[in-house]
Amino acid sequence: MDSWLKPFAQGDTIRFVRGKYLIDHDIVVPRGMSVILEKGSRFTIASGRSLLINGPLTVQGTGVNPVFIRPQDEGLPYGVIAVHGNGRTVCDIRGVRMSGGSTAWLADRYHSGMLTFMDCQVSLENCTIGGSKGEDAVNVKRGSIQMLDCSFEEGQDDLVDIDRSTGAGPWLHLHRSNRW
Amino acid sequence: MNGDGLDASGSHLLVQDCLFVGLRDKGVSIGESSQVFSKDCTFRNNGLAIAVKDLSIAHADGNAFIGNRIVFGVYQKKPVFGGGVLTVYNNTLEGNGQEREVDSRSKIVSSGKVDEKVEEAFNVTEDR
Repeated sequence: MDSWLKPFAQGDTIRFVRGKYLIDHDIVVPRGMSVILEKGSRFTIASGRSLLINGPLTVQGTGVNPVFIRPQDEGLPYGVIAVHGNGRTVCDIRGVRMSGGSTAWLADRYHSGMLTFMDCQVSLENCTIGGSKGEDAVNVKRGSIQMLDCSFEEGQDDLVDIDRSTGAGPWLHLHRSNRW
Repeated sequence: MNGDGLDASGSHLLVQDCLFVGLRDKGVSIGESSQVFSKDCTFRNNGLAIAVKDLSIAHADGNAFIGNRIVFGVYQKKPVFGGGVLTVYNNTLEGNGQEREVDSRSKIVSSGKVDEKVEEAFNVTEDR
């Protein structure tokens, strides 16, 4: 495990409590470990750097205490936050305010969204995502997604890109008050 | 704002009660054999509100289209695919530049009521 992660590891979970965190190098969370970003956690990410998660991701921001993800330097975009799942991996994202990312190659894969999910079951609620400097603000590949009360704005190119997401039922559902 | 609001490729999607505003390119871009139902959304001041391309099938019901350059574009973009099909039901159009742009491989069908099988396929309910 990356030594940067070790202070936040509790068994099979990486937990970030309320506070400020700087990601200054590419970080890969080991396969199968869950990541939780608690309300009030604030991340800044250095230029071109990324976070790759290989398991479930939970973001617990609220209206009063969102989770912020921003570039360390407003003029220098970071790479991406990406989740690689196994098709059943759950990503429950609430109350995130995210801006200033771009694209990245990680683990021999191209990630077109500053927030990228591959093979995940994704729920986004009460999120504001904008100011992406790359191809997409959000990219979902081969997964499912539900969105509720989200706002996407001011991307350099596409805002939400949904690719080859298959399964039974209405597995993609963007709903109520999503604003582009 | 450049680019598309929502870009779907090879996907099945219900887009309900959403707002697409000021997108210079497309509000919703539906491509590569996607199936999308746009229901009760508002599209305001976009370049092209809804694009249906490349063997995709789309339905539009209960939407408001206001001040868009083009409301519906249905066409083949990639030669490996065919055209697209869009079925339009009861939508509101106001102050748009052009209602539709359709190529010879594609079509727009008008219908008064959404078939139950379509609602079922997209799991449409009035109040979610």
